[in-house]
Amino acid sequence: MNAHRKRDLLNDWYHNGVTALYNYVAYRVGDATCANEIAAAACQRAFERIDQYDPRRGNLNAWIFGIARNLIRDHFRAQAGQPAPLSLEDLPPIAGRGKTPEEQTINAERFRTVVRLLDRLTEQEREVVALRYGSDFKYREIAAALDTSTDHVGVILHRALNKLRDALNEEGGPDGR
Amino acid sequence: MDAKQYTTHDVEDMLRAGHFQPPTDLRPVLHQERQTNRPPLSRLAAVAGIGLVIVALIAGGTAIALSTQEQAATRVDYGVKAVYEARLIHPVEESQSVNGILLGVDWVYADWNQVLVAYTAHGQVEGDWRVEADVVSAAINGRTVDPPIYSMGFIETGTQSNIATLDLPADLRNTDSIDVEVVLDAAVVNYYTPRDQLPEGMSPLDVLRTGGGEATFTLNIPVTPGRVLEAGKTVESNGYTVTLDDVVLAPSMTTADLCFDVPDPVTYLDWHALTTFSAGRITAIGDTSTPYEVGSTVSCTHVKFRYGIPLDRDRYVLTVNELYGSEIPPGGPLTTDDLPIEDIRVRGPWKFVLTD
Repeated sequence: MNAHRKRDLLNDWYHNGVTALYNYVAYRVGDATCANEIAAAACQRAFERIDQYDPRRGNLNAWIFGIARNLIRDHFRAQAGQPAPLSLEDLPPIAGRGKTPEEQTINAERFRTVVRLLDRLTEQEREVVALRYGSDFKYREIAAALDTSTDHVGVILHRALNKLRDALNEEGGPDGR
Repeated sequence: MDAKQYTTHDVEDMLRAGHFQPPTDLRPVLHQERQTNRPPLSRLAAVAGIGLVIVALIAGGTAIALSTQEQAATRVDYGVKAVYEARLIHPVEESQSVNGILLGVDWVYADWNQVLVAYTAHGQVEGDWRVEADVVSAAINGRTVDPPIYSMGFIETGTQSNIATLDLPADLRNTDSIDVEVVLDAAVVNYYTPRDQLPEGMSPLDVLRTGGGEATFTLNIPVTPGRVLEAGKTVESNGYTVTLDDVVLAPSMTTADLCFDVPDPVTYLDWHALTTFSAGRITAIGDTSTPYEVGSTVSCTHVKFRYGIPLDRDRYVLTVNELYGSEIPPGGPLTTDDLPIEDIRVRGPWKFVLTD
């Protein structure tokens, strides 16, 4: 694959895939400023190094997510390995899904309620949740990214959802449960 | 009455109810960062070790000043770090000017596994314009070799430094020195041209390139010897046989060639081996292996360990933990959706103990 073809691929990816990448990063770091910086740095690095992308080593999406993952790891190292506690004020802007503005508002609040609890998860659990729900990765794609089995991914995800469920039940959610 | 409790399905629904909104275009974020004289990568790079690679040569001598940034840069590749710190690299003072860009080779190194060429491109640029240089072709002893697909470095506005790597052909291992010719292509580029300033018909993400050109450097590089370990061993595990054909230890890298039964030759085009290599308490993890022979029943793959494994040990252990096959369309992926890589995995381990 020549350099022009790779750059075309990357351009296509940017238009279609950057939201998934941004959500992955935002799930992981939980802070708008850091998410902007890391996602932008990952894109920048991808554009600068696209000539080094080797399709035989994996698909482009996996390559770029790998870049982002390394940047996130570096970010946490700079924080002495401890992700900062989540703060609602620092979260990136949230959009709710739905057909009507009312539905979107309600869903945005439901989303906000659960993502503010992501810091209850271990780094591994948060990684899996980020890839699954932030970026819509399939189990086997997560397994490949983390070099583990799909069964293990399922176990981690199940554990993470249980933790989030328990945290919601402790604190109560937007539905007043 | 007890309040209704959330279930994990509720949690999933809530996670799917919304998403984070990225800035409309991430590039202005970069632009803004640079305008505040705070390169977006600088803080991360300082930690990541992907730091600035500017080799300061001390005139007239072979001593090389290792700045903190340079030492950080070598953390990207522990093999490069090893030869760098052991002063096995050879300073070079060669430079050429190409349309306003100064291209220079800073140092070189070769051993039985790879050749390293550290180079810098420098130019006077402003704003979002940057200087870049890539190795576009290379030859060793007159023989064309693949341009490096692995290199490291860092770009700042007016300077780009890189360490390019080339595989050393096996039949040149026992030579004292090699002649390496590299062609560097330099240009002034702009990744972040504002949309309203783009020439008509260009995508916002197209890169504007100007100036520069190619420069050829011919370099004579001494070859630092390595060591070939006894190999040719076969191990069976989980119903599959793996043969270790070749292990080459060198100061900057260790390589291994493995051949194995192909579990599914029809569907899976590429087979790789997840491998570790140990010498005492040092354990190196292999890069993604490169298939070099794909047969109907046997596949062979080349594994690189980018560590400075000591050459003088009397016992080494190579462990293949897993074989996996990836289905890749011929010619590579056409779109990102093209490649739901369906891996098939075969667990090992296949363990090879190598002693004198």
